[in-house]
Amino acid sequence: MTAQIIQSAKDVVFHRIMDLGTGPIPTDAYRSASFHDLEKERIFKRAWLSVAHIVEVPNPGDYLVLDIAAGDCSIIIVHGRDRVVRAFYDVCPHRGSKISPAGATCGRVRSLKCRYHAWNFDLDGKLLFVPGRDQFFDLPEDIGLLPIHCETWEGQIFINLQRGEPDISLSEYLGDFGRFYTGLQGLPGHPLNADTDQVRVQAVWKCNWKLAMGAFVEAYHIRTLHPKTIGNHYASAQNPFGHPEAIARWGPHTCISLYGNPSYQLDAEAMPVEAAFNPRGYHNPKSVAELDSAGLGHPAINFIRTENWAQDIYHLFPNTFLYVRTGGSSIVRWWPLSHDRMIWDAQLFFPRAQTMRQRMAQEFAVGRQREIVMEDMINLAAQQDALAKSPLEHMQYGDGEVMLRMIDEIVRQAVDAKSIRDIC
Amino acid sequence: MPKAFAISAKGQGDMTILPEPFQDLDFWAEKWNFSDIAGRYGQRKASTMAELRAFYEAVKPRMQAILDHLDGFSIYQLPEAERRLYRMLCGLCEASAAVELLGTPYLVPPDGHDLEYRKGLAVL
Repeated sequence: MTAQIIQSAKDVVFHRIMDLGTGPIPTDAYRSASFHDLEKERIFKRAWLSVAHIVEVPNPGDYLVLDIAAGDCSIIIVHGRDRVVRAFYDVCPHRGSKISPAGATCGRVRSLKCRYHAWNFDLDGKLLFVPGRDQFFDLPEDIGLLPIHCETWEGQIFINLQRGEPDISLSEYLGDFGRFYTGLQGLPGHPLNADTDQVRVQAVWKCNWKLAMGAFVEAYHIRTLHPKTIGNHYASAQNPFGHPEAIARWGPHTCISLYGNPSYQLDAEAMPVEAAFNPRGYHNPKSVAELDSAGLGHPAINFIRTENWAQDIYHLFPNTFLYVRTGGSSIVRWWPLSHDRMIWDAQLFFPRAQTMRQRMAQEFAVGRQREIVMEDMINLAAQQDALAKSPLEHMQYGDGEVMLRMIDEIVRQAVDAKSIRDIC
Repeated sequence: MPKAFAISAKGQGDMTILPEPFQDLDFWAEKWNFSDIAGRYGQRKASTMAELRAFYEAVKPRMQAILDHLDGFSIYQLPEAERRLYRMLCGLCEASAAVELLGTPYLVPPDGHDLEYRKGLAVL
């Protein structure tokens, strides 16, 4: 499918342009354990999943252990001596013990040695050494660690859990989105830039993973739920409910360009510390000229080049968000643990500060981001509880909630699809 | 910890922690001497609202002067006293959320699930 990029205008309604239904949305997908079982089998075990970033395993021998509940698997990502990053199930082919070093989630090794009987494997998964090999009968020649399809794109490490050939290659899966969203990673404040600083924060949230994603792709709730922190950043007299500036879709992948109030003024009396440290506010909206002069004039950043820009949020299906903010970028992964629990895993990237004032603005932003996210996290737990404890059958989505409707539609299509290729 | 820490930090038996114009804030600098955001957020959660407010009221009127002072230093080569000053300002960011936004020390997550910082900005 070719990209559809749509710019907001007063007489334009996103639902119509995107040819979406406007009816109520069944709540089953957000509160049903059986629907989540389907998601695991039909989405997480078939689609390409972004699981890590090369900056987490930058050197040969670096490894990372990940528990992926939605794929019912524990995996180990290993950076090989040949510079190829591979993924394996975290299991020893001898008797099924764990191959990862006990108690570690990351580190650097020369080889992988099973903690049980010391079978030793090279970084590419090949069996190197079996203590007392003569005792064994017919060890297959090619016995080694169990591989998982693994590919890297723009620094992100993807896996595909299909046992045979994946329905679709990673490059086809990313499609036009992949071609559009390319070449950003070395820009200032992005992970592959050598002068980028990273913050990593995680939390278990008591809500459905899609309910959580939905709270971050609409600005309609901001003035109600976040009135003090960012209420005036994403709305104005001209756009009181933060209607999106633009949305885009490439097959299962989507994007929202969030409206930023260009005449935002920080209330220095109510927020003196923010005024001192981060005078343009938490999301400090930037003009097109400022983006260009900051080296961020990439076509995928503020992609309609609006002067009312707060940030872009790319949804890389199924569960990764790529944020471009004025002060840096973020990767957030929404990992379901069950139908009503999930892990929020955020990597925030900033251009390495050169002055104390830049640094204090970043310190402030990291702390303030937590306050805002906590407001969402608490509200989402309450929403999940309310859904569980009521017979509510449908939710209603307005035009500003168009991203939620697209995500809902794509999830249902993916669950029904014969092949993941059919939704791309 | 604070006393021994103060001595080793400045050496020569000098008991103060912060640069001269800010030595009246030494008490707060000791309390908020954390290298990363996880430590600072922990301190905030362990504080009462009265403590956070007292810290906020003591440091806020000096924050511009502190920023001006720190402007003269290269941030990746901060002398120990300036490092404490910077860390105290980071503490002020935390206290400001409690005082300016919440009116309570911190938002209590549902069922005690909490954020965990796996990595913070480069330690200064």
